[in-house]
Amino acid sequence: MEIAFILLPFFTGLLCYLFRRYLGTTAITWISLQSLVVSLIILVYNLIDIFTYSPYKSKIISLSFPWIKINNVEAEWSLLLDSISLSMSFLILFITFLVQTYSLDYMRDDINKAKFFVYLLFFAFFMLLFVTSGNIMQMFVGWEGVGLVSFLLINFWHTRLEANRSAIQAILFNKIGDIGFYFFIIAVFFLVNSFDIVVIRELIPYYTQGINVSFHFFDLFNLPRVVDVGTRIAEFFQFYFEYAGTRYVSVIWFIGFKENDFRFSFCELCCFFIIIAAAGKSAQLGLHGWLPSAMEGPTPVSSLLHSATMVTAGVYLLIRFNFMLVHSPRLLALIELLGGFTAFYAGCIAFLHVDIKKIIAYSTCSQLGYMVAACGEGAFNLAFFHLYTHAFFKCLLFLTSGAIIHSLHQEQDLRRMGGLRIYLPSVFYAMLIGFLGLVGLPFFSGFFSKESILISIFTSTSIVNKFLFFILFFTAILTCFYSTKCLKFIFFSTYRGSNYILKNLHECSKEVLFPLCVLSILTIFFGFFSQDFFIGLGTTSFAASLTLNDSINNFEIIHFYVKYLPLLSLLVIPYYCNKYYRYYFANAFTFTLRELINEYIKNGANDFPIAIIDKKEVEYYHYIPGQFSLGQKKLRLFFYFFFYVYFVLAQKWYWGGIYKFLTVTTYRTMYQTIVKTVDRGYLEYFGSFGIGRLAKRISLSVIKTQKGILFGYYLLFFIGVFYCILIIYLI
Amino acid sequence: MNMNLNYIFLILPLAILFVNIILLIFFYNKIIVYITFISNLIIFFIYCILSCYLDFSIAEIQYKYILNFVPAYFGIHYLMVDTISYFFILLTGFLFPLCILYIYGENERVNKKNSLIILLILEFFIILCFTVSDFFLFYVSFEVLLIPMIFLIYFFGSRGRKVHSIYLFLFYTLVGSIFLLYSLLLVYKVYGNLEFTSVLDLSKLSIEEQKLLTILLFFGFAVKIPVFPVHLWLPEAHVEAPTVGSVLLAGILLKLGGYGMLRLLLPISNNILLEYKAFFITLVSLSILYGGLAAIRQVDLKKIIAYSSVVHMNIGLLGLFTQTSAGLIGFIFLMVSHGIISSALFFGVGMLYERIHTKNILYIQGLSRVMPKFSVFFLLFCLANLSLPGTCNFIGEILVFLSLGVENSYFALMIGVFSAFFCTLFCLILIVKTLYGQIDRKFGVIYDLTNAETFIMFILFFYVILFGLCPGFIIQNLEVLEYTFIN
Repeated sequence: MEIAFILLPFFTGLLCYLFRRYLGTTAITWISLQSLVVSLIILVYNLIDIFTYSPYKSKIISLSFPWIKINNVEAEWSLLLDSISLSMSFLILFITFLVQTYSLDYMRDDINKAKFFVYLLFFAFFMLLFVTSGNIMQMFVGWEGVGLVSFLLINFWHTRLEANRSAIQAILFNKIGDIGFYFFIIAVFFLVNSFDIVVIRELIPYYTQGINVSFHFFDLFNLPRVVDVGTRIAEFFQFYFEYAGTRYVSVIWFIGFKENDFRFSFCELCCFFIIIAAAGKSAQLGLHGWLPSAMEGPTPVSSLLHSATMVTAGVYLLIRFNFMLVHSPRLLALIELLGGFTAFYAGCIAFLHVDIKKIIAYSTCSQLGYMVAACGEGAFNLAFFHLYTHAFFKCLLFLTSGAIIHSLHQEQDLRRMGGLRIYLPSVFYAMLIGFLGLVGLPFFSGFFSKESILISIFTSTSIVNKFLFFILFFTAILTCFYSTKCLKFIFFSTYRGSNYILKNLHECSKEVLFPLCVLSILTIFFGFFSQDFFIGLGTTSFAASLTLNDSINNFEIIHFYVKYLPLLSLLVIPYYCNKYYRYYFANAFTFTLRELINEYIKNGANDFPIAIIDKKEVEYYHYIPGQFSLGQKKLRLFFYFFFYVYFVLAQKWYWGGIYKFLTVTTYRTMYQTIVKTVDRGYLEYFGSFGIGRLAKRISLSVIKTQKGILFGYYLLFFIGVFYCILIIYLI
Repeated sequence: MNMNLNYIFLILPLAILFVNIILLIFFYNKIIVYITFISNLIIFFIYCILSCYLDFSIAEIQYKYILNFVPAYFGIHYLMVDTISYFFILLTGFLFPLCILYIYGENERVNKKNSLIILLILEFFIILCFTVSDFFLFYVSFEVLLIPMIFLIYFFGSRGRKVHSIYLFLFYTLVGSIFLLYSLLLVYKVYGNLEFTSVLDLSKLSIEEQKLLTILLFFGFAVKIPVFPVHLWLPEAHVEAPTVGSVLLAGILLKLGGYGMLRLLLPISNNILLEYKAFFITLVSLSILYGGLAAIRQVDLKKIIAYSSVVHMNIGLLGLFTQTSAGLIGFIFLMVSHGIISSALFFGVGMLYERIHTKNILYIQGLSRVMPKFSVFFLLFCLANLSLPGTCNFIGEILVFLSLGVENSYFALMIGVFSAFFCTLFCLILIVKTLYGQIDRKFGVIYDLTNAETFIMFILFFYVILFGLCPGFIIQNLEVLEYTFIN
């Protein structure tokens, strides 16, 4: 009965799918909503049980039904219900419920509405399976199942080529993560001979230190372990160093690799695979490409899968295996840097996009970077808290943007919106609350989580953290910047779209407004009320499942103005950003554009200006508010530089080119070599066709002896007889 | 052992088939056609019942029947069944009724009499091949199988290139069987008989003979698997064969190579496999990579699936060469699951071809709007083919990979796991290109699956999920392999 909340969505979905012809669309939608409510009730019973009676315990429910069982390979269906998995399950079911309520109206005219609801139920099931599973094999079922449902849902309106493409892209990027997970399973089994998470937790400390449980990276390639460049240099310049003093020598000493620099313990190996898996699912830098493309799906899908729950599965994986990560500080630093750079990168890209859903998608990517960075810092409960608050405000943002897109007849371009404050007031307030939550305005829920992550990184002592703080701080400013830009373009100034759409604008229905209200309330109050529960000093909520470092306690004793410094700047900077952006940046862009076009007219074809002229919308976007001219040469050069930065950002740091090189170019050459050269080339030439040709040639030469001339036959006969006699004689 | 049971399990299916063939040839009418289906079902039930009488905890031969038909001319041979061969026999018994059911629903233009006769002859020799206990009869039936297969391709194949494909099929398989013939003679020279059981005793073979036999047997059976340089016949034969031919080719005939390796190569090379392991594993890994990459750019649906079977069979072979129990069980499991999944995919392609008369991926799109039942099944089988956890392919693959990890074959492990990427890619291409997109009006009216076709797809899918969620039906019964092959 306790575990019915996992199975209920699945069986409801299965039955609804099988009997969809008999039940009808309306029945299916209500049945699925009700099944989610029932699941939520059962789950709340579980939550009360675990948080009131046994916060230190984790409950393991074995279904005593073996899945794979031979010799030592043994995977059983089992569930690990502890505070963290149950909290995550609550989030999943709750958001799924809200999104389904929203979809009642949003998918009203779709012929496949029933299928959509069923897919959402399957999603909830696979996600719950992933979250609550007690062994990593079962976890992998949920992990892959979630990816599959994501594929189906991105491809929901499958007649469009773009949807097909982005669905394939999503599943392929995820597949790299899945391969990481696969290796993780194999490595863990290699170490502890078990798939059980509890067993791994008990045994993994024995694989963290010592020569027997580690391997040297260079040994795999038979390279020397020690590269003593520093020592060589020091010996070479010995005379000089004696003259200059020893302090320079100590710096040079660190050039090259020492004996144990590239020695990794097996635990670190497992953690490396976890990082790949998490990066694939949570769209970290390098594997982030699928997340913005996934916005091709319906907006409820974006809000449920690609912001609130599915993409946080990677972060959840890091949180779940915190016992493993805390034993490998080097990889924690790697995770931290990965998260930090992802946050920064996505923030940079978001403020140059004009597609409303893509801006929010990049912002999701950025916030995931925050979570991963928090995991890397060792503050897993901060990451989990941010996961929770982020789910609320990001779901809210997506749902509101969906409402806008729905009202504007599938218009997603910011440049054709504007002034909607008057026409869609309820959506305006919801989105305002969502963005305020996102930027972390004080006492909104985003504030408590994001700010505590920043402070926790600020207060820790390592060099990486000092560097990372500035990146994340700058990202927070970027967040403010694109949020204000979004609000301004959608709701303020005047409407820039077509009149036809404006006349048919309608406010949202009750089904849409209900989730918006609930999520707005949560975005405002959730952080304040649950702060102590998640990250309060000495909280025992997650004591059973999280190993925490103590840097979290530092921000209780930090000075007031240091603590709120980021916030003060967050309030001031967007104002100036917008102001200067308008008067300098945009003008600089048009100026340089004009210059380049002139150059183009003078000098003829050049790749760079053509690329810009093709993008006519860029010009439209940066309209010129007033007269502007640049006389000084220095200022001009500065703007050229600025322009190039802009261009790099507009090209998403050239990730598209990198992907293209990695996939298309390499694949084309592979195809050329494998299919054309080998399969239909050498193998056919020397294999099937070649032997046939050889046989033909031999037979042609043999035919020449069979021409019907008697002399020839006599000759052959005598030669034959001669050889027969020879053979008999020899034997 | 009880003589009656031997008779029922070993001779009765063959006798039923023989009588059925006679009936089909001389008294062909509609009732006989139904009798054919029923007799095949009976054979399947006989093999199902066999599982109750078979003791899976021992590795020895359990049911044995002497074929002493004019011993002066034919010699004395034995039919037998044991743990290894049982699952292959069961797969054969399972797939043939479905094939016959499919033939009933096929177009009227197809000559059902001839195709049924050829099919039953094929089944006769396949069962013989899996149940004989000596190398000689195995070799004979292994070769005789080619003849009905060639007839199937020639008389019921669709296009003009079929002669070329038959030529390739014959050529490659016969080159393989030269190696087999030589190794057969060598085994006979050393042991004086050709029983599979006598090969288990390695003391009579010198090290040089063991090495020679290992190489010969590997290349002999590698043609059937097929491994990289000799795989060229498979896509061609698949494309030209009729649906049933493709199903049987992928479902059973490829498994003959694996079965032969389990029976002969593994016992003989038990001591000296370590020397050749690197070479074999390199070749097998190469064919995994090669098959995966080649499958992505094919435009023929059947060719994509054919190359995917190259990938999956070779992943299984990696498990064989680890010489661990998990690897061997993974190998057999992967073969069984591949037999189910790829035959289902070929059935699907056949159903498609009957409706729109093309297999070219560039012409087909948007079928999910007009063929919902078909598209659901095709989607699920494609997902099973990319070894989604919860389907049966996944179990086999994970067992193979785990054994590779434990055996420290990191190179093969990496190739094997990375092949998942290519598998995903071509399976997704298969899904997206056929099922999604705008429906093309030039195909006219397309009907969804008939009841018989739905039944075929459903029953196959049922087993995919059953073996995916409860693989214990197979793998727990195979644990005994550890005591047979691993020293």
